[in-house]
Amino acid sequence: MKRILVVLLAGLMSLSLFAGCAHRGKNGGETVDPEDINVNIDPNTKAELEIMVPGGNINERTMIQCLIDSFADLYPNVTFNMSYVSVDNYVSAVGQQQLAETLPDIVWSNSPDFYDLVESETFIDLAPYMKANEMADTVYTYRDANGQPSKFSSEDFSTEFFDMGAMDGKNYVVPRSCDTVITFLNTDILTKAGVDLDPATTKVKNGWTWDDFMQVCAQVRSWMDQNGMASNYVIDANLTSWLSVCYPMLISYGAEVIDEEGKVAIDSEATRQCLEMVAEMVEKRYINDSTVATTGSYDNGKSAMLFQSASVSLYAERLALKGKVDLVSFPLITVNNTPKIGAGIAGYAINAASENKEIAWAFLTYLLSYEGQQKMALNGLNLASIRQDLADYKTANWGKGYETLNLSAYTYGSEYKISTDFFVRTTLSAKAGLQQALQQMFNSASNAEKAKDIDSIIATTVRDMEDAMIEY
Amino acid sequence: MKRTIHAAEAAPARREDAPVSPDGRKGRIGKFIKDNYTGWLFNAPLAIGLLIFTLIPVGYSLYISFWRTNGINIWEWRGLDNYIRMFTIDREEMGIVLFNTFYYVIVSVPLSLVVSYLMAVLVNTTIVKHVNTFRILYYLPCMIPAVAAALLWTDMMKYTASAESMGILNQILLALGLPASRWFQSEGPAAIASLFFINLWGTGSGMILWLSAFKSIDKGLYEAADIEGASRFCKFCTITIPMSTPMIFYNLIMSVIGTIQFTGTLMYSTGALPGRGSDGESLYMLGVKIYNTSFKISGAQGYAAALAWFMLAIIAVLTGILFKTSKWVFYGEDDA
Repeated sequence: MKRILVVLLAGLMSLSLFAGCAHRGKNGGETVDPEDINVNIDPNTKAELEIMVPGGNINERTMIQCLIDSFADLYPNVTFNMSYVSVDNYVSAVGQQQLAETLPDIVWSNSPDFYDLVESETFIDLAPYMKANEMADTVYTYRDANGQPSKFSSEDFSTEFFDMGAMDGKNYVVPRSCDTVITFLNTDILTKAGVDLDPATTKVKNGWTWDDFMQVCAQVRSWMDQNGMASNYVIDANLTSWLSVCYPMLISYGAEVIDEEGKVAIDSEATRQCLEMVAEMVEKRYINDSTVATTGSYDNGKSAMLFQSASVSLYAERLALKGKVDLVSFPLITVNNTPKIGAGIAGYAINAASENKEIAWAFLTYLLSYEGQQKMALNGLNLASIRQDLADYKTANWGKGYETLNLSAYTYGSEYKISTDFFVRTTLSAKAGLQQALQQMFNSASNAEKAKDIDSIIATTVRDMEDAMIEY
Repeated sequence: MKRTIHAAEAAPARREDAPVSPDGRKGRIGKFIKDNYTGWLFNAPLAIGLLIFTLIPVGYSLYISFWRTNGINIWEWRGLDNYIRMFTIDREEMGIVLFNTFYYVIVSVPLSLVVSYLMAVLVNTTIVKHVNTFRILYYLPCMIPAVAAALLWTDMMKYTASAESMGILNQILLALGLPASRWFQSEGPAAIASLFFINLWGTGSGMILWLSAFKSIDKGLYEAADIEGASRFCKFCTITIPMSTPMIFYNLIMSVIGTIQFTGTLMYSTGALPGRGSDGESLYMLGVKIYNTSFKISGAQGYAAALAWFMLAIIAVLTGILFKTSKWVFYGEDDA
């Protein structure tokens, strides 16, 4: 008996090693015929889905939870589990879960991170699924304003944002909203600094130019210096860490990162002008030197402005900013008559290895529907809707509670919108290196010491970019 | 004392040249299993774990080092190209990486060893009251999780536009009339020197090992030296150091291996990761390059694996050199 117990115990300990191992179906990168896709699945279908959302974003969790709750009314036998991913470590985390076959059925993604997962065929092409939706008379989960199934049409959406989730004609990510870089304002600081914010006369309005912006910066800087805030900065520009700000600036100046032949084209007079402008902002202390930590930020009410694309609710409800937030479009750099505004998407994709692709698509269809978008907007999604019929924030839910603010900043200037997709002109494995090189270029331009030699900064960037483009 | 003779010992020994029949071998294997299966079964979780989570991945990394792969669906045969790349296309970058890594090893290893050794000598005494408190205090920093420690150091070394909001270390420098430092954000050797400074706070773990080595030194040697009238310094040089050379050797090897694999700069980087195309080239080391290549570049896991094997080769060569030159290590009278 003792021996049997010993064998059982040891066997159990050994088997526990395999506890984490499980087989979750096969990968599938094959093309699907839209006619083979059932977009009106039986409401009694039983399934268990897992959905991955960014763990650090409470808004994302609440908006998806409300969708899950509403979806349960349509498919009572479909259950959801939520899992979380760190945005900072997104690509490697998703890649590892794909390798381990534990990647959830529906996965949050964004531009440009999804490009890293194209080669590994992590996500399915959603174009046939959209086509299948369009082919159906009505789609069960595509709910209209009355909560009834309705006809799906790609013309219902801001299609330019769908293109930001696509590559080579394949749609990998459906956007859950339109993300655009805008300028968040601290009206309290601006008013105290004497900046005119009267809607009738102010320069600080949608479509304001970079010159207008610099004038406001000068005014705020002067006021800060005179009021004991010498170590505060005028704006959290997110210049050195976020390509959605710095890349459109480069293009606005007429610079190019990679030319149409796939060669490095960053070394130009336009790039030089752009970097000199950044250095000037550092010199005038509108933004911080990249080697100097900031002690105050827009979040804690110490900076007058912020370049961000986040939901207004993320800032408007902060204690330090309550009643002090307003928005305006990203300032247009008109020096080359090619002003650009950074844009991108966050949305959801379907795991290529999922065994529940059709029901997962039904969920994403619900996310895109009028009802789904309105419900998400009531639960934290205060960003411009992806739907054309919900573009007006004064009537759509995404502006609810913030109607007095200038939410049209999010939707202003669709002709200027540009995503950071320059790396598609070269090999995808170069993406990380190219991004790093560009970020470093702006980082160096924001370093007062290095900015003395702009040519050297550009030469280093060219070297780094060319290195990154040598295929592994 | 009466010694119990086990059946196995009592059995007549088999002659080495006696032929073993298949049945006999079977019988011996069966007997071995019968006698040892309990031990092997309890060892199984460790043995299987070692096999699955260490040996197989090691073999797998060697395999993928000959491919261009993302580990999932990209498999393009590269042969030795990944290894050649380090010395051709990547030559310049590898130069920076290896320079930083060796610079870090050459300074950090002796510094940590000497400081932890001296610290152990200081607390290996009964003269000082409450010496245990000092031992605990010196060891405490080692108990802080690495991520928390990185955040603490980043905050303590913060460099800002105004003196009031500087990190505490810069506040001290300013109070002493010295200029504030940018620490990690500095260019060149100053950035890496910040790491040497930080590493000193982790020498408590080495101190514990030294203490255990000191405790195992035969007290009789010190008593004999006392009789001979040897000074404390003389006893330290002629007894303590020679008798603790096995531990010095062990710590030296482990430090060299650990330091070459160092990836700590990942944690001290506030912006983009260290390395080409990001700030702080002076913090760009081999471990960081392997991490960046593997997890930040699509389809480069094969190259990252090749870099890891290159790192293993460096470690093997250095360890080999250390063993070859280890005649100074005193293992006892028998090793002469």
